[in-house]
Amino acid sequence: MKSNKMKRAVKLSALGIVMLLLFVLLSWVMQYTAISSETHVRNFYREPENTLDVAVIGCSEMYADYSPPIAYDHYGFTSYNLAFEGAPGHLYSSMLDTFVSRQKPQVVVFEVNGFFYNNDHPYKEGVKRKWLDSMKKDKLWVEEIKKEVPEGERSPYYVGLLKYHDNWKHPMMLASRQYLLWQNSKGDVSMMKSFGTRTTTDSAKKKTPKRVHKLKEYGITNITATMEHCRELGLENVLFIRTPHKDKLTPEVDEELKKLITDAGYDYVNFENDENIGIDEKMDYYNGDHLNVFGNEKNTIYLGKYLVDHYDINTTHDEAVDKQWHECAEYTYKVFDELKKKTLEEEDDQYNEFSDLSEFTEKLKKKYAEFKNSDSAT
Amino acid sequence: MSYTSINYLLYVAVCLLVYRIIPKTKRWWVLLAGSMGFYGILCREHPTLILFILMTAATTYGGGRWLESYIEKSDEYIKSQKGKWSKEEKSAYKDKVTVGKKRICASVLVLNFGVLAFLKYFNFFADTINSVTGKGTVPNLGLLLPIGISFYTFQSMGYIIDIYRKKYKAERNYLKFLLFVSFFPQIVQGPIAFYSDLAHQLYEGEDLRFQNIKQGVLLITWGFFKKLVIADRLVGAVQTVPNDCDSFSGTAVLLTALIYALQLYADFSGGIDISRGVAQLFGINMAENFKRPYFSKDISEYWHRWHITLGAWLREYLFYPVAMSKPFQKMGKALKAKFGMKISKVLPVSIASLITFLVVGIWHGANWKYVAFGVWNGGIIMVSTLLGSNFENWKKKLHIENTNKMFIAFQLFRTFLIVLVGYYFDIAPDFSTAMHMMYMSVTDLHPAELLNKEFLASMTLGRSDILAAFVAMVVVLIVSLKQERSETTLREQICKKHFVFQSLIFILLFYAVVIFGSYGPGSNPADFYYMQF
Repeated sequence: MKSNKMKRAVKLSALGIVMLLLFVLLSWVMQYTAISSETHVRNFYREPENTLDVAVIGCSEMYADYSPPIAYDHYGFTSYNLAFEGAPGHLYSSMLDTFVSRQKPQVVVFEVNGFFYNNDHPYKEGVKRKWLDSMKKDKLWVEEIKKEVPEGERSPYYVGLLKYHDNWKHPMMLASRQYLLWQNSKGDVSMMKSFGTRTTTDSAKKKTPKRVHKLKEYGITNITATMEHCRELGLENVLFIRTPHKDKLTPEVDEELKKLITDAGYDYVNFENDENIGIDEKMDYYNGDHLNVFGNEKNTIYLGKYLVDHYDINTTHDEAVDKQWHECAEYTYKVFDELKKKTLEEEDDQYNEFSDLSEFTEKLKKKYAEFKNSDSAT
Repeated sequence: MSYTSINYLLYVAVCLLVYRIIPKTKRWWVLLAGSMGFYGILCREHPTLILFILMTAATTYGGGRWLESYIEKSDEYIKSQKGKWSKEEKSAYKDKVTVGKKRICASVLVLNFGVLAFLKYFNFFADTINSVTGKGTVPNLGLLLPIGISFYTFQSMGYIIDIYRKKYKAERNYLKFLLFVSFFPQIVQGPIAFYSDLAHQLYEGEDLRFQNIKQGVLLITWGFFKKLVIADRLVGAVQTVPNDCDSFSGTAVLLTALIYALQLYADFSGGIDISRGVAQLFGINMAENFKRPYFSKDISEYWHRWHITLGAWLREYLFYPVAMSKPFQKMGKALKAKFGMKISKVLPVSIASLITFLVVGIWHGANWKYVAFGVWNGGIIMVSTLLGSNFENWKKKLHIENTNKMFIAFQLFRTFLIVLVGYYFDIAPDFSTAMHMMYMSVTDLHPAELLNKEFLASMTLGRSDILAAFVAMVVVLIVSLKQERSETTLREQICKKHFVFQSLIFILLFYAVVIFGSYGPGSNPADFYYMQF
């Protein structure tokens, strides 16, 4: 009798384990937010703990305009773009918490674009999910869901399959995500530390609308909250920046931002009007809001210099860390060289840190483009 | 808390756990607490609605006790008068007792059916009177219908009639009776149980058995599969097209009726599977409510396979009493004298059928379309009963055997068509729209539309939704065919196989629900259709 019960318990446990494993597998396979946002966040967790000197937090402007490996190559400090497309300012505190949970940054840089969302964008489910679904499933994740999602709507965030199970309707999308994640998983760390660009000087596919930025209640409240949070964490070296944009902030908004931030004891720099960077408006942007690889390199060198000139950054690292970062820089230069060629050819394709630039893939892409052209011609 | 929610499954799990650790004699308390708790959660926005179920239980319980004691006292008195009374005196007393019994029984029936009818039909009559008079003389009270009122009222009234018929002893314990009335797996949409079938199972406190749990879990998962993968994927079309049928073609209307046939079956039978599965976890076997109704060869058979427990209840407490009542017997005799034996036998039964189906129609709701639904079904049965012998003669003349496959296919198609016509009354907002939709379905057909993606999208159907529901229906069809040819249930057969096979079936079914089910954010979750009755 007892052995029968034991047998049954073993069988049921085995079934339970299989069910659980399948559940975890399906939850992983069915999820889809935006692959680039997902990798930018996930790759952060692949960085060895306490090896990053500078935290860079923001939205697409950061991973398009700033390259941590190039900054390392020039100035020796390590950094990471914890950033994703359309990241709203009210999530910056959570992003900072995530950063400091694994790293001890000597300087924290925030790009201010996330504070200019004066519509419902910051609270859209898709925006929240880009962050929440890519975070590591730990205490911070649970706390952030509680903060961001009203009670009664949280279950699909805790159990992703409740939301994503319907993705079976898009098998190609799921397959492409798996392929790109596989590409991204190569190596111990992300070689480009979160990166995204388009190979053009004026994208026809990803245009940005002309915008006049105003600092309204959302921005003021969340900049203030972010700075208060920095103070709670005891952070002293905090820099708010505005990366170069074609549509510049008005002097009034620039002044308002400066006053708000400097009055709180933190630093603010607007690089939009700084001609010393050497940005060529015609050649160095891929659209109104983002620099291309030419602009990225110039901006990285300039911002990196600003950081080492204004903050006392200790750039001493373990030998292994330095070795890895050298490899990353070398790889990044190679990729940049390729992308520069493609930019001059006005290819206008998107590239991220996981993009495959191998000859084989390039040939495939060319063939596909030819096929597409001939198909549309007929 | 819907039967398809995770909260409900957790609720059942907690009840099951407490049920397991409580001594056998006290287990019915767990079921009662679980049932009251569940009903309380259902009525949390309008807690006063709980009073209705308590009232029904109290009046039926009290009526049952009163009736039984009246019968016992009368019987004792008759015994005590043995040898003292003449035959006439005894007969007169018995008549008096019968009248007394009837009065007690009728008072309980009138009170409870009266409450049901008042809550269900008052607004309809108020609106009808106001529209006829053109004045707002009768106020619309905006009455709310307590969840499950039809089901628990029917179940309770069956009990009081059985006590009247001296089928069993009246329940002595009000709380036990309340459990019979409110047992939570069935409270929302049945199945309607007979007291003699269900009560003893509720009170026995059966030990939890692994076999029951396995079969129960399998049945619950199957119910989820039908409800979430088929019914809820297709419900959008059923909710959209009939309310604005003129914006659609006849093809869309016909397709909607066909979809409704599948959607309703998946919804109702899926819900019942969940109810029966949960009951089985506790070792309680509830009556089957569906036996593959679309395999019926005639409409009579269909009504023996569809909503079986309501049909059984109506036969037991309405059809037979009406067909065997004195006026009907008199009618039979009169008909025999005028038209002969055949008509005298068939016509009263046909009229009793018609009355029964009229009640079925009205039970569905206060709307002329439901009356038409009842008349349609009852009328078809009436005609087929009256012409039954003629059909047999034609068959003989045409040399058609009952086993002929083509003939069987014809019978299945014919029955489905009759059922389908009835469904138009169900889905249309009113009687005239139902007729209009039927007209459109035969005069405005453009089959090529079915290949048009936009056509399906206008009916809120995506191709992937149709694909998922279609594959799921094929699975249901295969299971139904297998079940039709088998004497034991399929889940019993599965549970006898090797553990790996059992697990595989369960895993496939479970993850089919998880992946292909329509639930979660962005879905259009629909309540169980029969919940509204």
